Amino acid sequence: MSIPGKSDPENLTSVNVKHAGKTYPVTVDLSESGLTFKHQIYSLTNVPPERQKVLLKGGQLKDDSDLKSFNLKPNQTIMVLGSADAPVEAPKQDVKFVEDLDPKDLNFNPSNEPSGLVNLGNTCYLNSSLQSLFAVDELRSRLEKYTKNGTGVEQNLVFHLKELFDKMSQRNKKITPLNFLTTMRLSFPQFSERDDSGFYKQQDAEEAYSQILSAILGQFSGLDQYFKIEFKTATRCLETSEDPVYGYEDAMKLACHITINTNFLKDGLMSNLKETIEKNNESLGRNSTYEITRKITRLPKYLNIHFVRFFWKRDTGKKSKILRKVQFPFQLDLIDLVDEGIKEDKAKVRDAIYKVEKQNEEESRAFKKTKKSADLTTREQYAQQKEELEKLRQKWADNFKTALPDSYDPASGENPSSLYELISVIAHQGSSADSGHYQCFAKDQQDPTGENWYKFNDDKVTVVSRDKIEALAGGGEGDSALILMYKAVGI
Amino acid sequence: MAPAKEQETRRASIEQGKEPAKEEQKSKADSKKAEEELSEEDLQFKSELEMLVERLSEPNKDLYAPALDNLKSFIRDSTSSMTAVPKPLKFLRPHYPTLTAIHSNWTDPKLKSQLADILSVLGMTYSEKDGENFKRECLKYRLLSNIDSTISEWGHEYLRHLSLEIGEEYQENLENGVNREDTHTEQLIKLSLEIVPYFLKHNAEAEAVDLLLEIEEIEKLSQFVDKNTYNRVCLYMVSCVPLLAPPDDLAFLNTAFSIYLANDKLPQALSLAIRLGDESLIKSVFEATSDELVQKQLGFMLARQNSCFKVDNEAVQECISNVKLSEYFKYLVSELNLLKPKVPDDIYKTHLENSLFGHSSRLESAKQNLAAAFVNAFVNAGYGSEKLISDEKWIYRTKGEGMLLTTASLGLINLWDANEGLQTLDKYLYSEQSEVRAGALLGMGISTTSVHDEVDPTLLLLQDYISSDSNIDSKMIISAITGIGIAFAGSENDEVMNLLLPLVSEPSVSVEIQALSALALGHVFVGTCNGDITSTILQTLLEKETSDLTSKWIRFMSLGLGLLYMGKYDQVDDVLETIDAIDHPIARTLKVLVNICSYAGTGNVLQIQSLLQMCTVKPKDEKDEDEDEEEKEKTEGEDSNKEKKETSEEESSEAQEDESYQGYAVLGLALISMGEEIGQEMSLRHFGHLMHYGTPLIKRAVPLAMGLVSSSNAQMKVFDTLSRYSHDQDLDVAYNAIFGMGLVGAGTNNARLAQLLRQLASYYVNDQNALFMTRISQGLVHLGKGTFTLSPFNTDRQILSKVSLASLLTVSIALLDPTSFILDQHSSLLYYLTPAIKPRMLVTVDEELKPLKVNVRVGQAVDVVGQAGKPKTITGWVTHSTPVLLGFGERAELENDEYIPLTNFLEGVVILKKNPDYMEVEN
Repeated sequence: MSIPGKSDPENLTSVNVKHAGKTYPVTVDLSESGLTFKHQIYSLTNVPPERQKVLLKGGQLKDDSDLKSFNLKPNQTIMVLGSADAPVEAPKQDVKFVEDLDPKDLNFNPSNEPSGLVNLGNTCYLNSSLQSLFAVDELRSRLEKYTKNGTGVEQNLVFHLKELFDKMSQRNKKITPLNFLTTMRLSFPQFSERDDSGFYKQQDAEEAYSQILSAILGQFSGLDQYFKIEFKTATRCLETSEDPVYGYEDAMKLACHITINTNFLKDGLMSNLKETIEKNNESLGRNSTYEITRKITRLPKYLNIHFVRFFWKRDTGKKSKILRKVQFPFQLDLIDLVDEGIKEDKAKVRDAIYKVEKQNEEESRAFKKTKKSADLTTREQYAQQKEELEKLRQKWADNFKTALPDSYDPASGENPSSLYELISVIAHQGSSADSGHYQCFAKDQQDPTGENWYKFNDDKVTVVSRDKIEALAGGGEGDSALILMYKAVGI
Repeated sequence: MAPAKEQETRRASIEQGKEPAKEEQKSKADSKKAEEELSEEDLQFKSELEMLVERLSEPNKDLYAPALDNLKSFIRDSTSSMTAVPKPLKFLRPHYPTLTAIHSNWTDPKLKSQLADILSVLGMTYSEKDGENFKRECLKYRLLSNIDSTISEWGHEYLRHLSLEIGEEYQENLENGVNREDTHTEQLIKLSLEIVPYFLKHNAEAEAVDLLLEIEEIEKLSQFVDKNTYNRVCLYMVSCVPLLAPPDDLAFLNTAFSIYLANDKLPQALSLAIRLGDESLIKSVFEATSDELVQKQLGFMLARQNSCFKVDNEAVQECISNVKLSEYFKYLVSELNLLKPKVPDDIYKTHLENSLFGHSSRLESAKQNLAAAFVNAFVNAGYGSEKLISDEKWIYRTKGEGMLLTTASLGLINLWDANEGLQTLDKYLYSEQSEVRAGALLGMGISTTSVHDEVDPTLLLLQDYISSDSNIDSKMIISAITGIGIAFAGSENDEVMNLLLPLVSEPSVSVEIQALSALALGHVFVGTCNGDITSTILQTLLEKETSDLTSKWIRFMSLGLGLLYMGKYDQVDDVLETIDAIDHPIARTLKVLVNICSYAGTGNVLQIQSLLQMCTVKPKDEKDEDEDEEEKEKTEGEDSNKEKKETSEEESSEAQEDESYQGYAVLGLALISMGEEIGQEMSLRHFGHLMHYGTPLIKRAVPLAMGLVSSSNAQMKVFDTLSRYSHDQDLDVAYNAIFGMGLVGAGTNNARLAQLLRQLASYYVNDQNALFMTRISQGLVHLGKGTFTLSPFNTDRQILSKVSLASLLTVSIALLDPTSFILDQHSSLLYYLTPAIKPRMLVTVDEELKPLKVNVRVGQAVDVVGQAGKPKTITGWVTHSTPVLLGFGERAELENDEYIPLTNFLEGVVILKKNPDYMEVEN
């Protein structure tokens, strides 16, 4: 027994205090309170006593604990927790979380993918048409500025399309194109067809696509220049040796008829430019066979190509589908189809573009190969790469400009060369026009490699690879391309 | 290996041998041609034999003895091999009935015995097919003759035949209810014990073991083995265990244990003692040596099991208590040059995902930030340093429970390092947010998992928060409970029991706290069959209101009970009976759960069959009927509508609970079959079927079961299947499949799996839950930057760690309902994986326990059971310098004999001793 307050040598024990990886030798007076010991520790570690946790066999040391009750052995190691620093504080600025958003904003799209469109009952034909049109920059920018002037059906339609495109530009997760659908059914009653049980029927996407496109073009002057193809026709009677009659035609799309001999897109296009008809020949005084040949005299910036896959099959009384596989290229050269008069110019520009393309491709490859500096964090690397890529993209665009003839006016909507690249595909799945499912595939314009395509399956948008697009050539009941949209290369 | 199969082949070989003899007999009867085929020599031999038989039938008794001797020597000279039917047997076969008649006529016991000796050998050529009377002739005459060591003179083939017949006879006796004390049985046993030494001496340890198994005398084996045979014998016995029905399996383990112990192979003995889960056996291993170094080595083995074994020697205790684990692990990773912390972006590799530069971080998602915190913790676990929380204040970029979990993740970063972990987390205890404080408590538990000392600082720090006091924030209580459950998993710490047990039965606290306390106790006392805890949990369940029993937390109360009986199928019957007393549908679920836990790792086929049966039951039909009835009732009276609605709701939820046993049954398939490789393969096939035909609940469990069965074993066929399921229509199935992929690849850094997960991340970019799960799995695949394993098997795949299994099972059961746990809320259950995290390393240390570099060969392990000679134990090896990582199914061996390892299991920490006889080989 010792007298409190006095250091009796019998009560002194030397122990080791372990704190934050360091060990301090301490001589403890067992007759003192826990608090005294804590103050001793404070002098060594700078941890205030109230934040110290002294862990001993038998429990934590409290300010009023009796040190004797812990049976301290000489040179025992005692663990002390606590830090001299101020406690952790929450940072001032608040982080805004997706989870905190209003339920109405829950439509927020965390990825960078474009918006999907909700299927309102057999409206996939419409959704895919809209997605395909959305890929046309000129349409989008014109619609953005559109103000409604008039209350006509067409004005209404275009106005609702503008609203829809505005929403799509915000890249929300999904959008319901209800207003547009309603006005479209009003303006084009053929889309309001219902089946026996009262549901709206599936429609031909090509029809919807053409109708919408022509409605828009009707509202904007000069916009049709971006789509219009002009031909020179020569009509020649095959039974007489009369001189052919020349004429001009224009169209918004090229049709690709599919026969038993059609294996490639070009085959179909070529055969379509030449047709034979029967009409009255004045000199013969009877019907005679005429051959019409068309040569393209003007190529637009955007080229629509329609695979004529649907035909009315009389025996089954159904609109049937030709499932034949017809391959189409990612890059299309129409030099064989243009008129001799402009052929040479087109070819010249085309070769220049080829050259630039090759050069750009090399740069792109070099860019991919560049080693990332190891000092940067992954996040910094992204930022750096992104910046460089933006610069490169600007440079490539400039390169292309050098290839174009000086006289070329971008506002003319014409393609100075004969070269096109594929930007979107509307594909149909199933065996007949009245059934099946439409999907749109559009190129990711931001991706320099051209590997990434978006697949718009109504409101589900996914990224697919280039191989998937090649597989759209048909040949089965799977997705087969119906409408292709090509865009001029280099402008 | 299976005795029954062995019998078949033996029988077949005997019969084949007999066939030509039969033909011989026929042909001899009808023509002389056959006789011409016999050579001169053979003819002479044949007539000699016939003369001897003739002599035995003559009345002159004096000639009997020499004739018998002659016969014996003739036969003996030619029975050494059975590749062709020995001629004496062939020629004497027709005379066998004559000889048996002679035998029955004789009276002289000595001669009789001698003749019986010969008849026993000749009897090999006869079987029941030759007539009713000829049944086990060989054995019959053997028992009529001498039973002593001379029988081995008849050769190996004879003894094999004899042992086959002994097995058959014994079985038949059993079926006929003949008592074991019966003299006949005693004789059989005596005979067997004569045969066994012969087998052992002639490299036929399999036959010896099989024979003893069939006469149920395996314990007697230990007296026959010597230092040359014990190794092969034990190897065979141990590999038989999963194929044996209880209680033979335990008998085998016990016998092998005593043999190892007798031969001073302490590590092997210890591994079996751990498998048997018997503390007294472990103690006897430690007592068998006074060498402190060996004890330390044994301590390291126990440490791997999170064992609670206590010894007086402090230095040895330190090894058992994992005190130095962190140090060794950090040595390993610094040698492997992995110290630099990684951030989640390094794992996500967004630049390899489909959308190039697609990440415009307009807004942050708290959920994905939480996922990043988990990934950060998994990847940097045990390294003690990270960037996310310290540099980017990540805790405050999550919210709610996310802050709790992010703080707790610091515990995982400082895994096994009690000092650093507690010190780091201590300052978070002073935070203003209660979530952060709660997280610090949980983190403290996590960082000290399986590391203990006599002070047990974690317990001191956390115990204040464990009480039924309603003034303490329930978040703090729950975190402290879970923290303790994780920290003390497998420790059987009584203080923990005293602390948590009152909470289990405390009616004033929420079901959640009760259930989590029970779960924590289950982890701490896994596989102990602790009576107090059992009765408290059962009592609590019995007293609960029916409505309480439908709570989603009850499953963890049940699991807590199940974990107590992990691997103890021999002691579970009483509990199962008590469960029957619970008058609620969950009784069935509870029973299944306890049952699967108790048979975990046994590979018991009967249990697997009954579980499969459960999975095929279609409870839907019954439910439909019920609903119809209810609807009728509803239309009857509108006044009581309100009441009815309530009851119907209740009943439907009950019905749901009723079905949930099927989910457990599927997990049970994995749990039971994982103990044995062939069963494991087969279970994967079963899972395919269940996925086709099962109910949604079963489908949800299948990916988890697949993950369980091959955790940290990234086989392509398994994760390819899982990757298919990860696109399932039912999102719950998809979530679990994604998690399953994480389990399968945990700690492997498997590139292909990582790529699949990256694809999933871009596929599920719009589904927050699926993305969260994908991130978790990505973290798991890179667990500890690829240095850890979650596999419950260790020590050459011989020991099934109950602690690890309990961890995996807990998370799997939580995920049976992914949206109730883990995904949306209560993600802290994910930290129950921590006790299963173990480094897959080999660190060699010297006698001072300081790291020592030696060259080792690491290769795929080869099964050498029953192979002749000294086969190589690894194949396709590569030479490394320690420390080294060991992949799944890989084994290491020292390159040369400069050092002697103190254990033959080169895993974890291995102590090396200098070999005094080592001579440097000059080039």
